[in-house]
Amino acid sequence: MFFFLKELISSLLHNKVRTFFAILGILFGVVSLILIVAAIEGSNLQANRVIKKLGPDSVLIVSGAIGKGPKGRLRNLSLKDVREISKLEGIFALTYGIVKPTTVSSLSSSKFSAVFGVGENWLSSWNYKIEQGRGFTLKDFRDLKKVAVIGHDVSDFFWPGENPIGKVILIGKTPFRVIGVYKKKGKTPNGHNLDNRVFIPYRVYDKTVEKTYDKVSIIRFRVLDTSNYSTIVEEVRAILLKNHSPNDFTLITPVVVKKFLSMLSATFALFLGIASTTALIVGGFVLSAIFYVNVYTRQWEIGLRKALGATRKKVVIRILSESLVVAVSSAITGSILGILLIPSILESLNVPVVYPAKAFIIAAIFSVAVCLFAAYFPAKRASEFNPVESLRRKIQ
Amino acid sequence: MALIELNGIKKVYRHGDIETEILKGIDLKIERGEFIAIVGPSGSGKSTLLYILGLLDRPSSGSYLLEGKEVLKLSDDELSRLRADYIGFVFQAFYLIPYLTVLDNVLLPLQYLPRESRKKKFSNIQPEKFAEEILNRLGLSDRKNFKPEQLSGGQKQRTAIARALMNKPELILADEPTGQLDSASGKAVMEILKELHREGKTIIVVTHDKEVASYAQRIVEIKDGRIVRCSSSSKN
Ligand SMILES: Nc1ncnc2c1ncn2[C@@H]1O[C@H](COP(=O)(O)OP(=O)(O)O)[C@@H](O)[C@H]1O
Ligand SMILES: [Mg+2]
Repeated sequence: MFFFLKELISSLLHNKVRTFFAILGILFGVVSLILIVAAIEGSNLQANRVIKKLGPDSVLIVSGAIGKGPKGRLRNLSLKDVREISKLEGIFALTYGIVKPTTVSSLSSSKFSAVFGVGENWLSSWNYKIEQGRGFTLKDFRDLKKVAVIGHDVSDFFWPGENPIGKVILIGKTPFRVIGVYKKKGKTPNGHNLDNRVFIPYRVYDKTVEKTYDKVSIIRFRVLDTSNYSTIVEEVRAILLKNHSPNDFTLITPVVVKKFLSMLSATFALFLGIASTTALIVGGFVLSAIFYVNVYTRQWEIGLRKALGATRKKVVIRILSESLVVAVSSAITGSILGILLIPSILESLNVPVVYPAKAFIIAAIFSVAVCLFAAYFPAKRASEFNPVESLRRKIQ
Repeated sequence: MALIELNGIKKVYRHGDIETEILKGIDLKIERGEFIAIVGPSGSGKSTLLYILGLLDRPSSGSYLLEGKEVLKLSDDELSRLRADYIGFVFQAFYLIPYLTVLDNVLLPLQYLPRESRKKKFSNIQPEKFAEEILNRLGLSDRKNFKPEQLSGGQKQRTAIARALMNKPELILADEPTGQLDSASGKAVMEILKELHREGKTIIVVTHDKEVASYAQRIVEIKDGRIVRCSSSSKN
């Protein structure tokens, strides 16, 4: 066994040019396969992250058409929409919000934060977990209490290492009492900081931060039974279309997110899929041709091996083993190149950088399959060589 | 029982409509331990006969008994296994594999030896050890890590003989083994074959050289595809 391997490697090293081109032929296919699988995995991951953030049973309505700049500034939606949606059956955790980047200050310092005027349920609907203090009560909304729930970045900025509950901050010029701090949420997939936020009741926002004229930027609700999902989404769409033009809003559901994100990767996947399949097939042909030429140039060697007692099977195994070494070398080199190329390629596609084991395994399997398939025909041919004629072929 | 018994061996090559009969009915009995030279003019069919004897080529008709068993009805792969087990070839053109060292060239046939024979033949010696012993015997131990291109003609042919001995065959077949050697190394090669014969190996050498043939016990002369004379050598 050891001798077999040693002999095999010597033969491949002896003919470096052949081995090099055989590996090169397969390499392109391997690399592009790794990239395509990594890109698909990356965009799936992104989609799943977004859906997880969004909540798989939730529907989000934002102002403006999708993919058209920052939506936070637009206020196409209104409390009227909210009221009408609230009458639908089968939904819960309906909430809404309006946002404006605003200066928040204490006595000694100030910072810019995203200040949200929010409806009831906002915190629970978006899964903000209260870490210190409390969330909003109905009383806060009814009595227009000037209270705020803040993110970690805000509390750490003004009161590092202190308990912020009960402290006072100025939002614009109005003093608010901090009633709660929510657990760290980190960043959105697009890099927005979720911990530099201040939430206050919507009506209070209207009186203090800016006049809202009953406009909102975002409406969100959840669906009790996800099997009714599409019916409810259509009912909501009907309400919105009655009040607005189709370009004024976007209904974001997990289905839409999936579709949108996979639309990007589908075009890319198709492109790379065609490229890598072509590369692999071409590589397979190149390998096959190289091996054909090779078994003929060393036909005497195969004749000799037969004279020494090699059976057909041994000849086939021998040549397939050579192609297997080529396949493994291509897979290893391709994986290294893949690891080097994944960051730049995936970043340029706005896909989170991932190194899925699946990509490397699929590429390795394909590389081996193509190599074995491509080498099989020359190997078969070689095994059928007539030994006497083959021995006479020796080029002296 | 004879080691090999050929009866009415014919070999016909077909080129389109033209048939050329290279061997026209060869009857030959070879006893275990014989040293035979097959002689004759160039093109008379000596190599063809040797390849048939070596189970490398099939005759067009006739019968071939190896240890009393008809082997021509066996499949190609079965013949391959018999070759690995019974026969060691030595060729005029050496056929050493250029990318393998001398030692690895010698070890090459081992991988083709059927498992049971390998167990039997190497029950009390490691194959690697055995290969080194042969090389030692043929005066090649200091060349074992050389590549064939670094060897002289005589060294190449001695390496090829070592390779032929690797699987401990019954029969050594040599096709013009001295054809590419100067007379001194040619003599050395023949001395080795003679010594192997003395140890009990059956040896068949094809040659057109009278000097080489004189090492054999028996000389089989063929001409136009027929055995024209079968004589005992005067020397032995
Ligand atoms: N494959 C083949 N097809 C046709 N003729 C062949 C073939 N192989 C050998 N011959 C012919 O058979 C004859 C005997 O060849 P060979 O056995 O090599 O002779 P020798 O070894 O005695 O010189 C030669 O005339 C050669 O041209
Ligand atoms: Mg000849």
